[in-house]
Amino acid sequence: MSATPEARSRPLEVALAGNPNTGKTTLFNALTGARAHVGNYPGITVERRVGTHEAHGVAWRVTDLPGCYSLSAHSPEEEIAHHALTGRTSDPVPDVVVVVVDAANLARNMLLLLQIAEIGRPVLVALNMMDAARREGIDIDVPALQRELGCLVVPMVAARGEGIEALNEAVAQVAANPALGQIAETVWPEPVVAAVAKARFVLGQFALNRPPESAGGVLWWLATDPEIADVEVPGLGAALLAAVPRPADPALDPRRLATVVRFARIDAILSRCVQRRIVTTSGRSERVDRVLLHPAFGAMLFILAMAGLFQAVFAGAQPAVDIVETAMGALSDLARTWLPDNLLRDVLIDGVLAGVSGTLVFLPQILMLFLGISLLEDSGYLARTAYLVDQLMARIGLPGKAFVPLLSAYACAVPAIMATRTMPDRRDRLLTIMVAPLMSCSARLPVYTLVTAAVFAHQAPVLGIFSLGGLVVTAMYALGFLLAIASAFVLRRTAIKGGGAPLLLEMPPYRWPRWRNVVRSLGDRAWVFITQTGTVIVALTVVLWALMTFPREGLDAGIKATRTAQAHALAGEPAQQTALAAIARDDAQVKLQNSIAGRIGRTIEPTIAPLGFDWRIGIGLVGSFAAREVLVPIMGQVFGRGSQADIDDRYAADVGKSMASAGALTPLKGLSLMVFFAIAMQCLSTLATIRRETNSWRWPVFAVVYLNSLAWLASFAVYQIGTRMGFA
Amino acid sequence: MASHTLDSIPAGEPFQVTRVALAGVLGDRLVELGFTPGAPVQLLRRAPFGGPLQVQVRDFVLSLRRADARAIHTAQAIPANQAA
Ligand SMILES: Nc1nc2c(ncn2[C@@H]2O[C@H](COP(=O)(O)OP(=O)(O)O)[C@@H](O)[C@H]2O)c(=O)[nH]1
Ligand SMILES: [Mg+2]
Repeated sequence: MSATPEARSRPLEVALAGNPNTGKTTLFNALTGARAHVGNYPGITVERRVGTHEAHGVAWRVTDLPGCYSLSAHSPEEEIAHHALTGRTSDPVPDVVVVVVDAANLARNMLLLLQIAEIGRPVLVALNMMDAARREGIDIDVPALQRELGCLVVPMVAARGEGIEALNEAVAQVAANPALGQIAETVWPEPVVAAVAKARFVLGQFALNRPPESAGGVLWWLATDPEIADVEVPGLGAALLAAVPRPADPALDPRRLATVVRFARIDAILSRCVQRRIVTTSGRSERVDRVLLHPAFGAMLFILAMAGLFQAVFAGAQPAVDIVETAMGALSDLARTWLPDNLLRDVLIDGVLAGVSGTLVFLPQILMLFLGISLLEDSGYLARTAYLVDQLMARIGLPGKAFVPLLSAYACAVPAIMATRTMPDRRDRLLTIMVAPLMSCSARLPVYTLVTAAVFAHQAPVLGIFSLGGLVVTAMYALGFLLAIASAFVLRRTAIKGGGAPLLLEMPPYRWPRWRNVVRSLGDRAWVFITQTGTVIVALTVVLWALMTFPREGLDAGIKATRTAQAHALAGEPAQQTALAAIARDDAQVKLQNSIAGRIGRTIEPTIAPLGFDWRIGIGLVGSFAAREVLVPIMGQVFGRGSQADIDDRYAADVGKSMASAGALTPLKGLSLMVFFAIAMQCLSTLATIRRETNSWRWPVFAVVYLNSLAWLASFAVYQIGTRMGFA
Repeated sequence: MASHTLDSIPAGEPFQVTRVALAGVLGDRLVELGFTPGAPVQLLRRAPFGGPLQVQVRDFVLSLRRADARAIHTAQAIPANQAA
């Protein structure tokens, strides 16, 4: 079955498997260095890490399998791990499976080891975290463990690179002699044997690619949800369930009995190999938890940590965002002067370069948020935050793990949606993604400024102290939050049924984060965002540019010529310049009004008139699909103020005032516009991110439809009720 | 010996699992995490306002909701020196 190294024409397939948080990725990084590739498993968003390594002249291809507790396919991670180990993916079946095991938590880790060995893959144990085990006073007799298990056991401290050489050696041995990688199969009690026989009979009736040989392989099919089994082989799940039904008393279920028997075997093995020198009831982490999870002090600390994280994303990233914007602005100015004035230049600058810049501006916030999340996750505190807020979040129908993503969505939905990766349940995660854009992000602020400065600034303070504008903006935040709760409630019962997964969250021991891991995961995140989300953003930006540009009908040629001649006839250079600038501005205004977007704005006028918007705002609604804040320069252009790249408060206020004096903005219309922007899905980058994170166009389209319908209804209600009540 | 469900035992005292009275995937998952008969468990603390529990089972710490913990039956562990 296995070739000698000389005869091997392809690299040695080595898979790293193990429970979450055992150091698989750390080991993977230590082995592969920079020669790694992060991608996705097809169809799902579980990350796939593949890299290369060389030892003793043999090239390896190393896969970092997703962390899982068992192979029963209760989660996408488990399904992938099992499929990879049995060759049901496009990847070759691993020649050697390195099961990474936490030495300080052996019993639970060894369940997976037994399961992998049962399905027949050659295994060896990387007994990682030996330092932590030593610190906790756990003595492991490695030779004895090796004897008891029958496979090789390599003690390691992956975080310090200790044991890598021995691991290289052990992998080579198992590759040369796969029999070294076997563990004697568990002796199954009668009910399990009977169930396996029945299931084997059913499996035999279905045309399976690789019918399982061992009892362990059959047990996996049995433990698989009928639903999941059916996906792969239609009808199989139901047939298995009929042949081996679940008994009323769960303790008699052969699937569960098999787990209990495995644990009994593990306990027996460990009782002969592991000594606890110090028998304390509380480890190091428990002593830290006494402080960090203290009812009063812990809550304060939590609020501080979350406020810090939010501040870092919201404000801390701003200088870098400014630098990116300035640099990209300078680059497009440069391109504008260097390239000949033609359509190609325009599409390069206003389409492609704008899209690239629209991608890069998100990087600082993404990096900031994931820096925070990496530190929280690696230190072990992230799981504690979910524990602390779980009850609070349950009230709004979401799990505790949705807290950090939703909090960051107040800064920006893009990193927030990426942060939902830390959520294990697919439906919970989808639900969080769908409501995250309702959190009032910072891109809405320029729009709020535009409206409040124009129509609310001069109103009398409410109760003599609260500025009306401030109150309205606060109300927008509240509106988004309340609608998020309501949407979660409705979606959970309609489009995203089910979910509400049990908590069952491991709280890993506190550890110091390692910079190498953090930097590496930030690098991966940035790379995936730029290459995968960025391309979609650029493509969508180019499309939007075309809508706003074609068919390029500006001022009437005759009028333009006359006005130009008049301008040149003016006395003095400055006067001439002003007049010429005015012509250019008017030309741009007319071009935009005649563009496809302008025509769409006119066409949709009847549908937005009941919201208090005229066709000019309609153009803005089309254009601000790129990003909400783009409404401001588009309105500037439409209302003859000219557009400006740097959207500051002054400019936003000026544009708002132009709109007000043109009659397009009144307090009621302004409120309606704010409500619309608080709810509507108008952000290409968010859509591109949803597409990337859900791996389909279905969910971004759904988000646009549901959020924009909701926005329309809310603005409709505001404007119609307001008008009836006599407001203007 | 009286049986107590995991959500109702006093914090900080050694108990052991007697059975997981929950059918289906969640029950399977609990067993796979190590809640097998005889496994040592300890309730570490309860989150405020009816929030989840923090529990140690075998060698690791886990949080789970109270309603789910109600399915895990436990008994007071017999101290090692009295077991013999
Ligand atoms: N003390 C100690 N910590 C480690 C060791 N290996 C990894 N870690 C840490 O354990 C945590 C989880 O590691 P990671 O590689 O992400 O685990 P994975 O979930 O299995 O991929 C990280 O904080 C690592 O720095 C080790 O040998 N000793
Ligand atoms: Mg990992």
